[in-house]
Amino acid sequence: MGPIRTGDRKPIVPRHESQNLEKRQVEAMNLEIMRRESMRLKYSNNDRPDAGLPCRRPPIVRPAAGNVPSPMGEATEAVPTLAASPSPRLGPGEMVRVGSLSKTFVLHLSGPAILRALEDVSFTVHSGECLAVTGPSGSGKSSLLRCVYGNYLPSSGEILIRDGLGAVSLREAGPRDILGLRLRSLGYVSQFLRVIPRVSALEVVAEPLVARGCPPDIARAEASELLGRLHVPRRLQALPPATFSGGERQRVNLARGLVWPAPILLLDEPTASLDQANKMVVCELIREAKKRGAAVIGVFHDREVLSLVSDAIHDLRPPLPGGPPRPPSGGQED
Amino acid sequence: MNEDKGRAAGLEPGGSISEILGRRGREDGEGAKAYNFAYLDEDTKREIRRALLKAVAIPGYQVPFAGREMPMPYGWGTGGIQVTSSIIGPGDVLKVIDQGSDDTTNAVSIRAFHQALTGVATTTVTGRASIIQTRHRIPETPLKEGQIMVYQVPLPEPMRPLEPSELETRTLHALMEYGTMYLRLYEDVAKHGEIAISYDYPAMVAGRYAMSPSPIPRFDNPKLDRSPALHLFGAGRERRVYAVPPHTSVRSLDFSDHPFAVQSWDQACAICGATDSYLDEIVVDDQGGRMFVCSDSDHCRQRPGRGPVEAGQGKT
Amino acid sequence: MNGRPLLAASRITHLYGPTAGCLDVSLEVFPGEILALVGESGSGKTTVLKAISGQLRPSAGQVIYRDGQGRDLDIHGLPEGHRRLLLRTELGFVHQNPSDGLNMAVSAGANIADRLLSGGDRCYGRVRSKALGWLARVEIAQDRLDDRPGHYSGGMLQRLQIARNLVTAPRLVLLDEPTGGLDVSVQARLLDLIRGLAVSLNLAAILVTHDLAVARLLSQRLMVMKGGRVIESGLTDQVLDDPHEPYTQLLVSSTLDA
Repeated sequence: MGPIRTGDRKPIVPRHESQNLEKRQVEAMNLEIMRRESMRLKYSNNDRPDAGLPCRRPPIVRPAAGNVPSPMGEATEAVPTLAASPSPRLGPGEMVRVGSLSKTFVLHLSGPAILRALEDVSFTVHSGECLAVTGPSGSGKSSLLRCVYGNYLPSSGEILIRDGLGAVSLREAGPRDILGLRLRSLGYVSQFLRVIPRVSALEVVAEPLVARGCPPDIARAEASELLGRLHVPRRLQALPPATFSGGERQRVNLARGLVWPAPILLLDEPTASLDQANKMVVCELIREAKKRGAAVIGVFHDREVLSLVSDAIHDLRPPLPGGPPRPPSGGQED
Repeated sequence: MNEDKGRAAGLEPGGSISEILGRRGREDGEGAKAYNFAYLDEDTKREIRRALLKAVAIPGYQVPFAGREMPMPYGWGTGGIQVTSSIIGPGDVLKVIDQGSDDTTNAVSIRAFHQALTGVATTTVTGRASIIQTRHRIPETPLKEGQIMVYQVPLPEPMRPLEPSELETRTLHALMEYGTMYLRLYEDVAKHGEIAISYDYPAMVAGRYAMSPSPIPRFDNPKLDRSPALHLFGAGRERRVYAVPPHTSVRSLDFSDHPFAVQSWDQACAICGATDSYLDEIVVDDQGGRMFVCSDSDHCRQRPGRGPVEAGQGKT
Repeated sequence: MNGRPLLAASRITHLYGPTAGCLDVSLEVFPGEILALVGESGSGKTTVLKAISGQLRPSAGQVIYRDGQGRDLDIHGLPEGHRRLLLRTELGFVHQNPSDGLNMAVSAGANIADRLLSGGDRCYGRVRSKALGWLARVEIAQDRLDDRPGHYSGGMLQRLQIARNLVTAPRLVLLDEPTGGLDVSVQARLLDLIRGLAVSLNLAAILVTHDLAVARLLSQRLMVMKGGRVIESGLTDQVLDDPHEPYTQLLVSSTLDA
């Protein structure tokens, strides 16, 4: 494993941006790749990320000057693949591809009752893009996000997640693979903050950074800054969130999900309990994420937020009650 | 009054075991020959000797043996007596001490017992004895090669205070897991600031087995280390024998920052003036007056420049 | 898959006479991760744990542990001395009832020092200061060092047991219902301690519990046991949020907060 040279890598080019990128932007993106790559490599050494390394590590070599990347679709050089992963089935710039995803719950205690949450959902999300998932209540929006996060096991269909340079298929992934994905590539902001007793809000938000190798004091500083942006004052930051209001908890939740630069972000109703000012902060944070090349999939009930941040919409129709029953695929147990 | 003083030096007149046995013998017409030499039958002696050989081959290891019923109860030295009985021969010279003294009740009785049933010569001079049976002390006079010390042991297992299960202690000995022993020492230092065990101080024999050296004061532990004599330990109630062969290392357990140390006194012996022996504190009158006297009565009796003095000869 | 497992148990079966303690249980634990075994009483969780720690020889199956030097050791094939040594150094076992895992006859400091003394440390001062340090880490007051554990409360006993186990920096800790029988606030404190230590020491752990909230808080992966068998396993949040088996669904729905 020699030094990482930008010439070897194809930078992730956002879909809709101009093909002639400013060199500054290229460098910023390459820095981002470098950092994500170094975090991935740290984890792949079979040990906990080395806590001594700063989390914003400068690249090992300078980006090659004058090397403007070619537009998407043409490879300047062969893209090296991850050692143990199959050939990437994601195209360049694609971050998440969902294919014919279905999720059916069998509730053994109620009958058994069959609950079809998702049926034949397909879409692709690209780097720098925000996809809004819409639909009436009960149409499976949260379930969709949870399937992408690995929290629900899909009954059928495929989900491909970009992992570094390759892709991971959730259908084939085991529990530890998914844990690795969550560490490197997937960020998730749920609707509810699970409260751990005795841990302060600052610690809660700093923890994802510490878990990824950031020194605790830098992690806490970053966490504090982010919480500050979300109007959580310092004196609250030191308290455990158990006594917080719904809106305050939601902001801690958001901070926890957004404090580390996830390549893929899953946001479930991020602005549900927030006032106008904080909503704008969240929109700003999402925009910043997109700018650094992240792909965002979100459930937004607020039309204003939706219009401000989303680049595409995927509408989930509720499954037809009398429609053809689709038997769930065999249990997806490990 | 039977005055068989030639053979039984220091014997109290009247009521001795030999007299009782002698009387019975006279009644039977056979005398003390009604008993086997040294009381135990030859098969038992053979078994105990085999156990002793095994004990000598594995220094510090407790060898079980089938203890016999003796004419005194447990707690009165049956283990030591069985060991002595198994090894004593007509040519041996026996010394018996109890707490260092030849003339306490138990020392007298045991000496008379052996003497009556074997007819061996007895002595109070340490240097003259070939077998020394002792309870709770090692003589001050350094032992020589060819001498055998026989100890009376109440509880052979040094870990018994902390581990009540015999199965567990045997496993710990077998696996050489002696953390428990150091726990005891740790507790002492935590509570008293020093290791407070004053007698029966555990020691490591030949670097392999931890043993209890019987309730001798820790003052005597160093005498075991690389001693030229053979040391045999017998526990009658627990039915164990163990041994420290000559010239074997016996290291008392300690911490590197709380090393093993022996007791010392400010006074000298009031009788002989010795400053390097183990002193007993004796209350001499009703006003609480005390004097310190050598525990080892034989050591106290000897004077430099004179030949060895037996008890009962000359003034003390 | 990154790296090799720290411990791999394959097809562990143990029969108590005609009754099955556990049947055909296989699991793997990797460095730095916590695996929870959940199930109701009698489901075989503790049997599995004891078979893994070497305390119980299973009727069938193998437990392979990868030690600090990278050697694969068959725990039940080891000579007894080596197995006991492993259990004293690289493995830890926290019993459900703290008095089973502590020596109630000696002081708290001696309890923590036990493994160090067994390991050959002969310097009293060093052993004592390490014991003091660990007392602080498990949040027990320093002046309790020389007290007997009989004077400790339930939560303190459990924390003392944890200190006793962790003093030799084991790579894998087995916890058998560590919060059983404790008050809620005491439980919270203990869980917080375990969480913090697991992260700071990069511990791997197998946690047996019937409390799903504890499993959710502490573990990354989960296995559900019923009748001695593993009926479902996967990521903790996945098994608890999307249970497939009827019994798992029953467990999850019966819990007040999971």
